[in-house]
Amino acid sequence: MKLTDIRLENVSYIYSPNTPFQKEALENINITFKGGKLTGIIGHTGSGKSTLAQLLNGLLKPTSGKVYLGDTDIWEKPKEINKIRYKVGLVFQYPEYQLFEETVYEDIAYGPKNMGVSGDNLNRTVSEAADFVGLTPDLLKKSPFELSGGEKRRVALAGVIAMEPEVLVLDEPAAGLDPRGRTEILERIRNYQKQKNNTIILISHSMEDISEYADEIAVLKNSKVLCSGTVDTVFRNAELIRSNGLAIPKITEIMLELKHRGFPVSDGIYTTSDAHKEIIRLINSYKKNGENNA
Amino acid sequence: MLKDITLGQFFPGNSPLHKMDPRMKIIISAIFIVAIFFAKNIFSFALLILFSLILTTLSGIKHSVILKGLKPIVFIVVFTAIINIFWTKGETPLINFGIIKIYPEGIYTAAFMIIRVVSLVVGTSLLLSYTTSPIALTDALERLMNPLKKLKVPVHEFAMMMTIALRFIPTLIEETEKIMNAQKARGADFESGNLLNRLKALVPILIPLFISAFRRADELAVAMECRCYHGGDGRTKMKILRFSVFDFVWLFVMLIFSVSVFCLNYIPTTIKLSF
Ligand SMILES: Nc1ncnc2c1ncn2[C@@H]1O[C@H](COP(=O)(O)OP(=O)(O)OP(=O)(O)O)[C@@H](O)[C@H]1O
Ligand SMILES: [Mg+2]
Repeated sequence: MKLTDIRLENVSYIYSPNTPFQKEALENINITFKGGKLTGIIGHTGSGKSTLAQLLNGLLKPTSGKVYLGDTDIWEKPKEINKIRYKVGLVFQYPEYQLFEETVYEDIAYGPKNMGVSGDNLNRTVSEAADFVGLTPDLLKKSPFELSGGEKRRVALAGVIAMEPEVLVLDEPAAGLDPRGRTEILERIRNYQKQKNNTIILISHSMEDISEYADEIAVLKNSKVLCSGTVDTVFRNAELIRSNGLAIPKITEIMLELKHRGFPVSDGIYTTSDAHKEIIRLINSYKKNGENNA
Repeated sequence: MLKDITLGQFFPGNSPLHKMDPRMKIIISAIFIVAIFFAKNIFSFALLILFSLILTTLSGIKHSVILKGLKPIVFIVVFTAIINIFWTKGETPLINFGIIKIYPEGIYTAAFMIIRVVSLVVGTSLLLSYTTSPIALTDALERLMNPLKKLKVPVHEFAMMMTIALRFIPTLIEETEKIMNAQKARGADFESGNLLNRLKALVPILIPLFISAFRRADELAVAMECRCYHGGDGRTKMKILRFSVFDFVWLFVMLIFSVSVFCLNYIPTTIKLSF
């Protein structure tokens, strides 16, 4: 599988230009989403995350600026924008409402069918996608309207994964799910990314989720990119993030506070499991010190 | 594409048109419509154009917005104009191609017809939709129809239904757009193929749209019940409509306008119209 970068160059987007409702949702965005990485996008409500997502697969056309998929400008041939949409899969915020077929199987197959996939290939791609999101085969025969909210969400997700996109953009895939549903769906997305090694862009409100699952982070604020880079570089700027009203992961806060109080903990701890290891290490080193002193 | 529908769209503002009592706007629109259909010669049509231009200027709505609002009627206007040009018979043809004869009368009739329809749409949409919020409009309608209550017409219920319908138009448009986008992201194609294919392409939009519309209706009904909605009896209003002097000035201007249209019709002209 080749790794596809997706790059935005001076992209701005204005909703309803030249009307009283004019609204600049994105201002001069420059960012590269690296191929084969899971990039998390985080930002306050209304900061332009969903708008950005729709620019990536050509549902919205930038008011100015360019979007590159690999080396091609996606709007070079506007007639062939559908080809870009096959390559960049987009799962919308609350995607449950898009289901319409009689059975779950048919609904997942809708995208691939539009691409011209049929027969055994269709079967394979649908069951593979269903497997990735954890839908059991018996659910495939049911009507999508009989499912629970979380299951519907997974069907919608599978519907896009079945198109086998090179880049997968997910707009708040875990919104409105309970903690177990959240972890499960995010785990599955991460496993999917590891197996396929493709590019994933994950939009979320939760710093915890992003720091746990993403390789890179982009922080949006008021239609602009506040900062971006690897999880490490972004959280090293904890002050910048906090002063802009966004929370850094709770566990990172605790570790920063420990450091502040003079404990020699290392920087760059964003997940509870890392923190766990670090604290054990710390305790062990104190024990050793204590024994040596004795 | 759906966003281009400005018919029935309210632009908040502070112009003299915005400040008029919505009941007066309905009355004035009715008078305006009658006046339009009384206009019969070049002078009364000129007055019609003048009046529409004055309304446009007073409203403070951008010309581009008004032109965009005319888009949906372009086809009908052009179509009727063409029919008028070719079908109206007069005395001396302007162009004579054997079967096809175009008379000057036909061209005048077409031109007047265009003025009529355009000023009708511009006038009423300026008065009733661009400068009046849907809520104010239905409130005004309910008040105007109040006397019908004596005849056991469920006026309040009609007004409520209308408010709800109007309230949900933008929501439904937004929802349709959202669903279309989601299906487009799955490779749906609404713009190519033959008629049958295009109709088929609508299924993935219509089904989710209906489902969500029914769900919304259901939720709304429950929410209304929870807030003890029991029809119009004994319900008080937060905004009570009161006519101001200003409203009667408008009424006066409008009456003068229609009388002028009526009188101008008697000025003799050489142009004969076939209506
Ligand atoms: N269809 C639209 N028409 C007009 N303005 C819009 C439209 N969609 C979004 N906006 C505006 O653009 C801005 C960015 O919206 P966007 O949906 O991208 O935010 P978001 O970051 O995804 O927020 P959330 O976290 O709530 O999903 C908002 O201020 C919003 O009001
Ligand atoms: Mg959003």
